[in-house]
Amino acid sequence: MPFVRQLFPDFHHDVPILPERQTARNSRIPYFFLLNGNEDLSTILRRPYNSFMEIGERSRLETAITRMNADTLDFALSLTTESTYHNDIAGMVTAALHDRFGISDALQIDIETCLREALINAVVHGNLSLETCMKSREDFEAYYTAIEERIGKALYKIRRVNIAVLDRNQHLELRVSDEGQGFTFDINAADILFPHSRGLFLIHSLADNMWVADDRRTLCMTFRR
Amino acid sequence: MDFSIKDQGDEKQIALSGTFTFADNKKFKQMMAAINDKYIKTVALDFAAVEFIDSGALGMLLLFRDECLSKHITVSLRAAQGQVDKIFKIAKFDQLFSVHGEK
Repeated sequence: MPFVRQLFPDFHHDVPILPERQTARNSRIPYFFLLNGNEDLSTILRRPYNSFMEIGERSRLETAITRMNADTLDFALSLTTESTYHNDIAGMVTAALHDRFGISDALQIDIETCLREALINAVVHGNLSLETCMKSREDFEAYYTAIEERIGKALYKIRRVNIAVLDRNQHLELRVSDEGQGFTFDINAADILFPHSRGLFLIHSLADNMWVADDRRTLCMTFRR
Repeated sequence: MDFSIKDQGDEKQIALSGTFTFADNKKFKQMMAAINDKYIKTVALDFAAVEFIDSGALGMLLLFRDECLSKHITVSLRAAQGQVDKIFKIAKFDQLFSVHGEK
């Protein structure tokens, strides 16, 4: 990965992160990129790779690489919180899944709906460590002001959001991970009228199954094909 | 999301278009300003040209409804299609708003 080495001359993580099974299959080598305007993400996701990694803060990169190699993933994307927030990641990823896994248009819309909710959850509640409680117009103003403040701070914006997809033949499994404190979801205590957890309520309604893993920092969803 | 406003007697008709999501908070604030007219009795939100909606937009619509109720204004949702109609049904918005399939 010469490109990464140019940015980070001390980056020596390439050998351990590329076990033999991966060097035998080039598609397992992550494609590293910068979102600097030369190439948009939808173009990047059409490249013949299975995993894609935005180069962000050096200190976060190795953890993200380790997470992406934790399983045999059929598609993976790792981004900074800042890029996840400012780009239509759900739309671009589901378009890529449509091309790669041949999912139907109807399923693509359901997956996009759920992925969008999972990503907002990962960014706002996970990496920005904010709670939603929009009971009033004042709450609404305060909520968005807090998001804008935190998304500009290095402490928060460098945290990673990872998307992983596994093709289980009969269904697709999507996992969205963040670096927050973790969360819980109890469908028996959820309602669309409550001022929080509406996104998780929608995911529960649209996905065939959903659960929380990885110390409550990963939301997993399955969709029957 | 974009929107346009038309007055029809004491009804304010707001036609929305594009995607209405979490990121549309600034447009939503502009939309809220439209109900500061003390002569209106109803607001009709036309979703015919809205392609996609998320839980953030649902939250904004619930705030919009609360704001209208506090001013004794009734809100109707009209012509939702596809994904938007599906999400409104999951959210049981027919129990909270006057929902019409047609414009």
